[in-house]
This record gives sequence, structure tokens and C-alpha cells, in this order.
Amino acid sequence: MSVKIDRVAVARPWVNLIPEGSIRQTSRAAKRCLRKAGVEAVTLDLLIHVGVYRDEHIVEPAIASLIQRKIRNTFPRKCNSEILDGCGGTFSFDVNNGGCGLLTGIWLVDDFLQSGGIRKAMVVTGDAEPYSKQSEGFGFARAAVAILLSEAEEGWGFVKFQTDTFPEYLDAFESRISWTSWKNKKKDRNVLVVNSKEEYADLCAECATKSMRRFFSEADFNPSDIDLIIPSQSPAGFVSSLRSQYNWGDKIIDAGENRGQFHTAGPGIALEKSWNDGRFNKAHHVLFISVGSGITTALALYRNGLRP
Amino acid sequence: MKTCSRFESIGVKIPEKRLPTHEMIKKLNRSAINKFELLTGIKERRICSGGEDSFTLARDAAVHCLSRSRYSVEDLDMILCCSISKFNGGASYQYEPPLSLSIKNAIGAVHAVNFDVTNACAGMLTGVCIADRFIQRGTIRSCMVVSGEFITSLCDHASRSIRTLLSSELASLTVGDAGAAVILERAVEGHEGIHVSNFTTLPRYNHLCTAKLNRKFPGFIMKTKARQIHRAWISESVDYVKIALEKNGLSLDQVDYIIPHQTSRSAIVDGIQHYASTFGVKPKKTVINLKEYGNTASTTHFLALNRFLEEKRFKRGDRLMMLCSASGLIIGVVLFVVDEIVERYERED
Repeated sequence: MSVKIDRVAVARPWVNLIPEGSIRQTSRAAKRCLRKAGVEAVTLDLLIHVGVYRDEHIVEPAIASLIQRKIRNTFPRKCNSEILDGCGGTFSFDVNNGGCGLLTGIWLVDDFLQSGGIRKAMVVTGDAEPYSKQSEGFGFARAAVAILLSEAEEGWGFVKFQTDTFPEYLDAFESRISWTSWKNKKKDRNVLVVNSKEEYADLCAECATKSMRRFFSEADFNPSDIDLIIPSQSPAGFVSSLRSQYNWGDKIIDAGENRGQFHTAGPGIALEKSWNDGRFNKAHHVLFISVGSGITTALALYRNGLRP
Repeated sequence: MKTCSRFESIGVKIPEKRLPTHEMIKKLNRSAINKFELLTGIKERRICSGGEDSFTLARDAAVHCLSRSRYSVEDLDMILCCSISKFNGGASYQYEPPLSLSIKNAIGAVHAVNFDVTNACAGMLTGVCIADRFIQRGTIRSCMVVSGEFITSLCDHASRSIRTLLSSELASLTVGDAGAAVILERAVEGHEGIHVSNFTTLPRYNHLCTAKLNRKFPGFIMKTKARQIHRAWISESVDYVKIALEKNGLSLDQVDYIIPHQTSRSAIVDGIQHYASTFGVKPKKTVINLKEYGNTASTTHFLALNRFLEEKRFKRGDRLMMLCSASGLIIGVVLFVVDEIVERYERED
């Protein structure tokens, strides 16, 4: 048994001039995903939120719980101890693994699913500037993604996951809230400061290359057999660097275009693009590549069954 | 019973500096809050000083945990950091890279996969739940679940702004700083491991306790409707506890120690009394570890577990139940039997 993607949905701001919070936007993506799949929120066993930058820097409760409430998954299902090892209902929590969060969340769902505790799960993410215009270096576009997952037959769906970290580049991308002076105002305040080194995109491409080598070698898999690549959509230049390095051409999805850099939602937005234009369903082998601060890389191989 | 994982080693880091409740009350100069110590059972709490923060507490707890473990740091397959507070470098809150990566690098766990898990005060038990699944499936052999909570900035702000006992910031006065770490490994066949069950989120109560960035002061601000969240947890958790016990063929009086989330003495006593009247029986003992440490958020269960192990209060074969209750509202149960880990504490003498 493994985990397969049932549906993906994206939410972007209605109007760019009116900022929409990360929680509201992510809830919209989640609702859209459930609606498209024809699935009721109460049937979810697990809800994982993997976004980093959230409204008002909320630290408690988990953002996943706030989203769970917004998608009206309020009342637990009737107890069904045979299936769910106790009372039913949705268990939700947050995971932070930077730009690799989406794949980490899917990996967790895969594990929960294989160990027999759940049947249906959703991984959601959305990033937005926590307080409008109270940050330095925050350049991520507002976007949210929801991916609905359920069990697949053995050999289909996500068949391999891998995560690597490259601690020598720990400071290549950093973000933190600091109590500091702000724009010559008299009083100090909490400011979100995002620092990214100039060479961060190149370093990410370099780390992704090293990880891919190990991934393909351990999987005994020929890279030329990959039909579609779903990469992170940030940092800027990462997708084009991979495309030119591997001569992947149109196989690699670039969903950024001129819409800015998508952070944790990036791979989901690329997935939605390929889902909508039919390329995802036609591809037999799909490679997911995520990169994020650390530098951390996450890779996953997805095997598509033929769909009617 | 399904065997899965076991607690192999536990480590803690408790800051040296103490802040007695009466000093806080004196500073507040509010006579109504004199009842506070009596109600909560909290005489003092430890607070960070001299460069201590969430990161150093978590790192030092991880090192302490490894010093008691059979595993070397290179053997760790996974590190999960479950702190609510992620202060690294004093009052600087770290978003990226994840704090788990900073801890992993600091202790030299070169082979471990890492990521952060956040689930309010249920963070470490959610980490245990995740680690248990990975170990059960055989994806990993060992996992360190670690947390460092530097949360007494809540206390600072609350002591300045609270005017009555009805203040929504009153619960902020109960908190203390601490770090805790636990290593999980696969239980040997034939031995009982831990049994994690019924972790559920009831989001209709998620507005009852919220914490976010304080716009006027360094750190965060927490607002709690303490009575309502306590009432919600008591009434909602009964079914979950009942099913967890039934799944393991147990009744409540077969539990030797209950370790609830450490919020306040009166809330814990009230909760256990409610269980006793509902189930008709009560657990043999309830662990309360508030007097010297207060509510240390995600680390409370392991701080209490470590203390009782160090004080040799448990004996091999004792059945323990950790009750998870956290903002969200998160309910969950972790059941396990004290195994050879007690002998390690005996050898420490």
C-alpha cells in the first residue's frame, strides 16, 4: 500500500490589492479541493498544515486546527474503533520543513496510512506576509494549496521518498522575527526579517543535483525514464537552472511565470498546472523535487496508474 | 496488544534561575491574585537567563538524553523538534531553517532526518505519535523527539497587564521554561511498547486558547479562557480515554499513574475526580509536577516522567497513562508500561 493524489487545488488572492490572510486563503484551497473531489471534510482522518508564514505569527493553536474549523470539520465522526484505533475524527497538526514542507507532509501521510491508522488525509499550505508591510526581505507571493491523499495499490502512487540536508549552507536562507528598530520609528517592534544569499538558487540546484544522484542510484532508476518533474517554484532561477542542467525542456513545470515566488505552495501549484493541462495524468513516472532552507532537499517518485 | 516503540531514554534541561510566584504577585500588587498560588499549586517556575533560549534548552536536553542512551548521536535516524516557542539567539524567533535542523547540527546527528512539528502543548506527544508510526513501519529505528520552551516572556507581559483574576492572560502566569528530549526505539518482541491512540483535534474549541506575536513587546501574548477549555477537555476526553483503555483491555483502576498535561493543580484534581465519577473507579496515582516548574507547555509530560524516574517513584511494570490536552483542542492518550528504563536511573546513583 502507498499513498496517491486524489485531487489538488490552489487558491490565490481574489484581488491583489486586498491582502487575504494565509489561513483564509488556505481554507479556500482546502474547500475547493474537497469540493472538486466530492469528498466531505468530516471524512478526513488527518490534516497537516506545512506553511511557514502565517497571519499575525500565530503560534498556538496549530494552524491546521484553525483550517479544520474553517472547512467545517467541527464534529468528530461516530466512533469506529475497528478502523481508526479509537474515536474517529480528524487529527491535525503543523509541520515546518521550509520549502520541503509539502513533500514532508505527504511522507507523513504515507507513513500514517501504511501503519494502518488512517484512510484519507489532506496536506495544506499557504504563506502570506504575517503583518502587512512589517517585514524585511519577504518576497513570497500569496498562494495556498491543498492536496487530497488516499491509499493506492502497492507499487502505485508515491513509491519512494528521500530527504537530505546540507548543513554547510545553513545560513544561505534565514528568516526570523527580531525585536528591532523599524523604519526610523522611535519604538522598537517585532519585525520579520528574511535573508537570502545571492547564490542561494545556485546552491539549491547544486544540492538538488547531489540528492538526485543518490536518489536514482538507490532506486536503481534511470533519470531518462522520468516523464514529468514537479519542482519547487522558489528560489528564483532554481527551475531554469535544473532545466538547462538536465536538458529537461517542457518536462519540468515552471508555474512561477511572472506571478512571483511561491514558497511552500510552489510544488503544489506546479502540480495543479500539470493536473489541469493533463500532463500529470499522462505521465507514468513523476519526480517531485523540493528545496528549502537548511539547505534541505526532498525528493519523491510518483508512479501513475493509467486513468480512464 | 500491538507492539510498536518504547521510550529508550529521557533527558531534560531546567534553567537554574527561579522566579517564585510570591515575587510575581508582589510585583503585581493585586491582592486578588494571592489565591493564585493556592489554586495552581505553582510556588515557582524556572526562567531562562544568561543566553538561554528555546534552542539552548532543546539542545541541552538532547545532549542529556543522549548521555543516558545506548544510542550514539550518529545512530539517530530522525529528530523532531516540537517546541511552540522557537527562540534562538535570545528574543529572536526562528522560522527558517527549522529549529530541528539547528539542533541536529549542534549535536552532530549527521544521519538524522529532521523537521519541526507544532501542535501547541501537545507538540511532544504529537512527535511521539509520528515517531511511533515511523518505527512501527520500519522506516526508522530510532527517533529523538525534543522541545525547548522559552515562554516566560508571556509571564512578563501578563504581570504588567493583568488587573483581575478574570483576565484572559491569567494562564500566562502559570508558565515556566524547560527543555525535554526523548529517544524512541522499536520495542523488543514480547515486551510491551507504548500504545498511542485517539489523537483527535476538536477545532470548535480552538478559540479558547490562542497565542500570537505581541506587537508591543518582545515575544508573544497568550489569551486563554481557562475554565471553558478545562470544561471542554473534561467532558470531551472521557470517551477517548474509555476507548483507549478498552482497546488495551484495561480499566482505569489498572493504571498506576496518570500523567496529565500540567496546567494547574485544581484543574488536574477536578479532571481526575470527573473521571472517577464517570468510570466508577480511579487511577491509583496522579502525577502533579507544578510546584517548582509550573506549566512548561509541550515539555510537561516528559519533565514529570523524568522527575519521577529520577526520584525512583516508579517501579518496573507500573502502567502509565499520559493524557494529552492542548489548545486546538487536542485530545490523545499514550499508554505504556515502565520497563528496564528504571534500572538505568538506579545505575545513575
